[in-house]
Amino acid sequence: MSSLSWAERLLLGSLAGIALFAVAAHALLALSLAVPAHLLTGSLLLGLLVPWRIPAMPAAAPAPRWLASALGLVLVAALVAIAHGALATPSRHWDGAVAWDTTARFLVAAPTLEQPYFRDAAVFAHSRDYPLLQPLLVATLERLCGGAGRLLFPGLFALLALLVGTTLRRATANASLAWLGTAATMLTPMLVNPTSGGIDSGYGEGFLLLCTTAIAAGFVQKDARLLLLGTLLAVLVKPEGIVYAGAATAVAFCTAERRLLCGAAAGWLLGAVAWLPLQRGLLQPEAGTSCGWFVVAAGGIGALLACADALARRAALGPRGRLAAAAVLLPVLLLALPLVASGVGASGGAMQSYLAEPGRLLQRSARLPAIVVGVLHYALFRGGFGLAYWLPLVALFGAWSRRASFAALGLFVLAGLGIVVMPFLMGQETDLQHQLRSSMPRLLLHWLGPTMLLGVTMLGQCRERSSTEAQPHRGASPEAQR
Amino acid sequence: MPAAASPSRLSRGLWLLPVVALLVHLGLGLARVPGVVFGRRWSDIDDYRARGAAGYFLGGPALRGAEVVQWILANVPADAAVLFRGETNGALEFVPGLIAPRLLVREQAVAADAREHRGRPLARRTEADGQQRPVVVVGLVDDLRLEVR
Repeated sequence: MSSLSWAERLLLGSLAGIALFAVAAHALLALSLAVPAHLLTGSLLLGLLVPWRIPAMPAAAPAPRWLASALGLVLVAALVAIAHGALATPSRHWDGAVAWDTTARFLVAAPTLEQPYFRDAAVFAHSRDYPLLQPLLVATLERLCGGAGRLLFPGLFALLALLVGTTLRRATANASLAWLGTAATMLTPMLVNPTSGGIDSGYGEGFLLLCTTAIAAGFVQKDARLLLLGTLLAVLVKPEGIVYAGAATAVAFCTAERRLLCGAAAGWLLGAVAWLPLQRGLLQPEAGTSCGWFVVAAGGIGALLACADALARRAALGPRGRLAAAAVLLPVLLLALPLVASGVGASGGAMQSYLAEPGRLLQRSARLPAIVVGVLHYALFRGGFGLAYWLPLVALFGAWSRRASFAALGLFVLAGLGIVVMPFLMGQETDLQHQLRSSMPRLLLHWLGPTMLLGVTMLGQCRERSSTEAQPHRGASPEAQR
Repeated sequence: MPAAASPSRLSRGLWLLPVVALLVHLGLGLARVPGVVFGRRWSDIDDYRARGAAGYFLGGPALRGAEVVQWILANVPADAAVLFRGETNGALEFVPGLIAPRLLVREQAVAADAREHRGRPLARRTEADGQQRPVVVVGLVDDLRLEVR
């Protein structure tokens, strides 16, 4: 990992290309038009041809050749397994088969929403209100690559590896640690095993993980572009994405860096304006896909954030003051857009079902200890995540110096784990144990990337501090040493 | 008597804890590559190919109804609409994907004497009396049943 600017250009170009395709495709669908396959080719080419500004990589000794070769080989082997798993058959797991693949299949036949599967309420369409970016990409690749639409999944795996690797290399200035952290993240059982939610299972979890990891990388690298792309794509990939992107915007507010706040908010609100009108049209075809109310809501939220930021600057609020202000803003940021979506007629969707009965939150508050135990059980003690969620906890022992570079990331991970609890308090499911078993591993997978980045970044800083402390001993005069 | 570790030595040693955690995590991942990442994935793929999509999802002890899907695939034209009723959770969830591009349409949304739904012919079966009647897929959570309307 000595010269990685090509990798970072490829990464930014690919993410930007996908985002460009996503926005253009959503606009075409809203206009009742078909999505041409070469829109993806053009968007990716455009994204890759942009001369992205890549800051110089911090100097670091190269990783030992044997380490880089061995871990690189293992990652390539995992990629081969995932590519075979993706291409050999359609999805072999529940949601992948019943929802994601089926939507993609109808979009392959006709890349438009103007067909009975999407517009006829009498037709059984599973998860009709689910975001369309992943099925659109699979369908478009299917048409471009002669039936190999599920190439998307090894592609997402490769992008995630690039994202984690380049971010860790920058954050830790240690090539060996970057290799170890990348391999450890990418080989986490829940991600690479052939299981529900795994990267080639056909579910949207792997894609959403890429989005949350891009947001986390944006915080680590203070890169507004990654924040924008991560929040935008998160909204367009899975229903949870709109809440995660709202949380990322709240965390960006806490950083007091205007460009990070602008990046996160712009991606989040643009994604919402692109997706929510389509979602309403899917749930209630007679309501149409006009985006007026959503533009007003997004504009209102943007104005609220701008005012809050200006006031915080005028009052010279420190990190704690900003955190308190963000805590006040958080309910608005998390709930405003889903509530607007419900209010203008898109009721009945997955996200809206959580908001249908706010009283549930109080009724089920007694469940909270059991839910927290469930989170800890699945995060720390089941094999699916190995020691991924232990890593930041263990690293805390060594990280005395709290650095701003991981304060924002730590806050983002904490916010994410807080959000993970909410479906269990607000959902319709009454059997908590069944809900924990079926949902918790997938919800925790969304936060694997941010958690690993946090853990390995903290580890790098522990190591740095340890080396700094060791310096006087090494540099001391022979007399002093004696 | 050995001297107690100085705080700085202790702090230097503590960064090794997350290193150990990272290496153990990586080791756990590596250990699963041959048996699970490759082995179980290959075995799932073989199973899917051997049983076909309908058999893979609806031919086991947990969910049944593969024969209903296979009958539709063999006897219903690709542009048809297939009626359904019953429990939409469970086995019925798999049907739209397995029978696509045929559409699965709620029975109550179609008039009793209808022969088509929005231009698509309804899936029909010839009965013993020689009459052709629309078929209805009935969802039973863990099974499917094919009935005549």
